[in-house]
Amino acid sequence: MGETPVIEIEKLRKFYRGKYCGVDGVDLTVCQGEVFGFLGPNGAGKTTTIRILLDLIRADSGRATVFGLDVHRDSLEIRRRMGYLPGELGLYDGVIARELVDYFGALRGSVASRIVKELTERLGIDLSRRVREYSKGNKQKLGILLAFFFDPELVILDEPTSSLDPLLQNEFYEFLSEESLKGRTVFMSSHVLSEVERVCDRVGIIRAGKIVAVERIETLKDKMGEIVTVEFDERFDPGHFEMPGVSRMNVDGRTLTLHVVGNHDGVLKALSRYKIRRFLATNYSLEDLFLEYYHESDGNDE
Amino acid sequence: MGTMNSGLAVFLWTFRRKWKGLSIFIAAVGLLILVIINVYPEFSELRGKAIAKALGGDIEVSLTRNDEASGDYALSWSKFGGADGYVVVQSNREIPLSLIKGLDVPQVNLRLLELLPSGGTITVHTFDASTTSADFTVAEKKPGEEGAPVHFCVVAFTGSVSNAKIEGASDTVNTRQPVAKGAYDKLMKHPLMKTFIGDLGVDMYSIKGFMSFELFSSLTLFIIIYFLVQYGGAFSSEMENRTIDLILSTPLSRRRLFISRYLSWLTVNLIVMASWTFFMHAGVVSIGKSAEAPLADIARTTFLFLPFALTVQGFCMLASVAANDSRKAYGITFGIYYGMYFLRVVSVLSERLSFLRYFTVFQYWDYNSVFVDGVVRWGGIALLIFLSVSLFIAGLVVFEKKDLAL
Repeated sequence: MGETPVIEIEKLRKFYRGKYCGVDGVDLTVCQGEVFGFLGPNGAGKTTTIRILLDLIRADSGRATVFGLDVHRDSLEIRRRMGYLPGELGLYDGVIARELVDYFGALRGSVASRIVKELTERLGIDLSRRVREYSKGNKQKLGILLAFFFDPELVILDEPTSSLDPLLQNEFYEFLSEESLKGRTVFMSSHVLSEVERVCDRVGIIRAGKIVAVERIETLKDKMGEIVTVEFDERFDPGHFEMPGVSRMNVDGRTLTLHVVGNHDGVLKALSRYKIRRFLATNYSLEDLFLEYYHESDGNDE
Repeated sequence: MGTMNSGLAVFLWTFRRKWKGLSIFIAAVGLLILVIINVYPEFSELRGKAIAKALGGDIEVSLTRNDEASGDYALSWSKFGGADGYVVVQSNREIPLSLIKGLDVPQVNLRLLELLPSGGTITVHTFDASTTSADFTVAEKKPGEEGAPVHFCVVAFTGSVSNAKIEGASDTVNTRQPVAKGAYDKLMKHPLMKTFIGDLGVDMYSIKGFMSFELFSSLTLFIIIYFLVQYGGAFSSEMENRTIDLILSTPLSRRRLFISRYLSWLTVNLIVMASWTFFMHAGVVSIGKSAEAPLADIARTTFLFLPFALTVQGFCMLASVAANDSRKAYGITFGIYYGMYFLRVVSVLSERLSFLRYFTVFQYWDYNSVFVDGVVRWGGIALLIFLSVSLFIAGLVVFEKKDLAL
């Protein structure tokens, strides 16, 4: 993964009809060769950001570049080097898949038959059938083919697994891993944490049109730790648990809940002072972390 | 995979996706054109124009009902120069003028008309040269019926009743629809009729007049309906089903997409015009009238149809890029044409509001003058071209600036 920025977004702002927030001051950088997860719930601004990058909609203010080129002014040059898989894939149903591939090939200018053949075999698509005869999963595979079949430098995927069953999702993750190994830059929006955790190098979390965090997945995982819940048999002093690596302390009578990251030794030593009735340690998942970001930013909003 | 210009790819793709609909449209309208043109000889015969002409002159006949209940009728006819008198044949069945033509021997006893095999009751009334109207009572009215059918044929003659030469004749087909030429012209000038067919003022008995009335007026409607159905929601339906997202993720500019589609539709228009020319010419040849309606005249008229058709295309494209869903796009285009049609009706019905016709596209495409009179009103054509170019530019600007949001 290089340090050369492929996507650079600064203070990007878009309000629909001047009042409905699409994005509100998004800052983001995606570097060459990385798989970047763009995480957020529905309506957070993921698709708005992506559509601005594709020049399908225009920002009110701010700056967005891809390959150092302006997304509006140099849109054609960008699209020449960038593949796209929309969240809600619209295909011409009445035609044979091969004709559709040829049509998009013609729109792209020139596509190598070898790559089409390789991808068709890799994804297991029968291009001799009409698109309307395809299952939802196969349509999505056709979309993936159209996003990758011209060997793009960058691929933007907008919630690519939303219509896939778990089996096909796994197949897609494997495909994406292979593609990232080839050094392709991938910008992928999702609201499924597990897939971001599985395939992405970095993640940007967006909420209500604003970026609330950009982290490496490893850094996030380091922050995950455990949630420890202890029920004491006697009164205890919460002050004994105020130490590095412990956060989100909650006291409810004789029950204490802690978020422990790394400092297990310190916590166990503090616990050994007391008689314990019940002890429970659960993994603090990325999901919890994600929600934590949301709670934090809720708090900031308020 | 070979390389192809992306604009050409869009052009071919657009055309290819609509070719089935286009073929059906061309075949259906072509068949209609052939059928209608082949009706002309019978129409011409039935309307009596040819016979009246063969007899040497026309008489304008008008029949009005004095009283809805009683069955009293007032018949009047135009004075026929040189006639020594008139014979009015009254029948409760239609009297074929061709039979009267059969009596066109140098001298004939007009009383023989009573023996015409019409299958109904025939009465013959004789009038002198100064009489041009008469009242009649139809006796055979049955209770509860609106009135027994009544038909009149007015024959102008020279000489005496017993030794007459028929100079001219016209008839009424029934009490409500006088069809002699004069009455027909009157009907054509009636404001209500004009709202349907426009102010044609053509001679319907000529093949050109017939085609202008029966074909070109319908084709105007057909081209509007065809474009509305085929292309009314072309862009908006792509925005709805999201195919536009994938297309515009390729290095294809919105401008190129719009222009390629416009040219594809323009080609469809040209094919439609060429097919109309072909079918009309084939129809005219099949009834042996190609000398009266030559191919060049037909081709000129159908291809001068293009500026009008391009305005329809322009409205369709503009509406389909401006609206976010296809139903809205259809509604806008349909509303525009319905509105213009309404203005046209109002402008014909009211002298005071006649200026409104200038706000409709129908005003500027005068196929009648091009086809029947051979006069091209270039002002109207230029205005339609200007309008279609403006609509094209407006559609392009809207599409280029539009946010293709979800």
